[in-house]
Amino acid sequence: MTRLSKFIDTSKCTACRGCQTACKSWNELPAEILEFKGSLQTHTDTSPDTFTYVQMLERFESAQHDWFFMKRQCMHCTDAACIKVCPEKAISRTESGAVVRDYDKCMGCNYCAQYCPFGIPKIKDDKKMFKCHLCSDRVSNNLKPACAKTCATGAIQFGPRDEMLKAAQDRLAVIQKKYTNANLYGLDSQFLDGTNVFYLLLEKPEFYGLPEKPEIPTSAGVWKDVIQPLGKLLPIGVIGTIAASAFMNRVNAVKGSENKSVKGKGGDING
Amino acid sequence: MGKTKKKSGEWIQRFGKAAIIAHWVHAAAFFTLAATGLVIFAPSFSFLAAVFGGMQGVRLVHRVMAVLFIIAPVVSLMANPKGFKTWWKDITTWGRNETDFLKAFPKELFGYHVEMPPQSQFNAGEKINSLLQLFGCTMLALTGLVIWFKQFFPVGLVQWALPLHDLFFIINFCAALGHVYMACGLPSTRHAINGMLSGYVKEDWVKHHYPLWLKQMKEERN
Repeated sequence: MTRLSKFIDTSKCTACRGCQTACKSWNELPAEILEFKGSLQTHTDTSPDTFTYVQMLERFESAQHDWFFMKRQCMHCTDAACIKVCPEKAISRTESGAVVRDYDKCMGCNYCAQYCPFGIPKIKDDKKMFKCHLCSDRVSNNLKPACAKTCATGAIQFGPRDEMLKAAQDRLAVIQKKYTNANLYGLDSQFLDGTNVFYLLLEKPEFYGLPEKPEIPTSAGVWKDVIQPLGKLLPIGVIGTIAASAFMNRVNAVKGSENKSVKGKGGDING
Repeated sequence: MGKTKKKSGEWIQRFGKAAIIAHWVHAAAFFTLAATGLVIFAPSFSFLAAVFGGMQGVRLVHRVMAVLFIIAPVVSLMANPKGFKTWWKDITTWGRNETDFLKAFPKELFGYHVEMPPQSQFNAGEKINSLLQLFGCTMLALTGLVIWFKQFFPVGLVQWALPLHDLFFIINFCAALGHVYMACGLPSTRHAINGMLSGYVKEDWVKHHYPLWLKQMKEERN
């Protein structure tokens, strides 16, 4: 199956938040009653009941006001930290490139949440992890993700990665004339072998609070590639040695009793 | 310690009541922690979750046992600081006898007759196990507390606490397997279990395995 990506063109986003509603609707997620924080922005983070939200940033510069909207959600990394650290192998990649969690295998251990460079996965009641699954149920039935389907301005596009990249590059050339810092975020050459949700940003990643070069923490690699293999080998080695010792002691004890002239254990203590 | 007692032949006290109680509480906590930890550590042990009534039960038991695991050695230290000091002094003393012991040990382990160099109250292997457990358990407790109360610690610290918790579990668990085998299974050393049950071990056995300790006790008595 071809790799399918979501291209989010923040220059076209009007923060209507139809994507938030469509996501809640399709995934049957309840609304969250949150505190008003003095901003038009509804949510400040993902949660087990909120897979996506529109971040809203304002800028005043030389008597000009400008809005920067960015739909936040799981990035669906190719080299995903959550897949690497999940001890139950509950998180995997679909053929089209979405990072999904197996409900039955998930134990709610929270490791994915600790290692995600974007802080996306959230655990419900210490039981199960919830996050955007790139509408893998819809996509496997040849439908677009709910947010892409509902987006009125065409800010959310979904399709084969090549086509999405082409559209993004064409759009970037236009946008850079007005926003000189505009850039694409999530290309294969940038980090984590590319993310299957990638952006056209109007400002540098730091402006949105995004890591410039997100990476899988070193500790995750040490854990997975060194400590976990050691955890299999060492106990097997110890148990094997104990079994060999028990066997050899029996063999040598039999030999000793056959040849009574051999001095037994504990004979010479002053040597 | 060092008193003798008539049973069948001379018996010598190796451990006091406080040390014995602390040891078994700590051991019970250790193996329950291992069983509950394995549920997450190795997917092939996931079935153990059912024993504790699911993941919520596993979480609760792991935390309750963690408290016992930390309290047991601390209480025993406070109950008998002198005994703790004697133990600490012995396990941190290392010389030629200890090095030679480790060289000769593989032969003894596989049941061949070998002259072992004379040992003090604890032999070189016991010294290594003591130090490993002391350091490893401290690290398990510290990393465990970071993971338990992760909201109070920077995410980078939690990210290192998780693999280190696993690492020290692996090391301590393997050391514990060897420890149990030598205390209860290996013919030449299995008399040692008596020291952790009644507190007393046979003088004959001490003469053979820990002659320096016997010498030291005699000197102290004179």
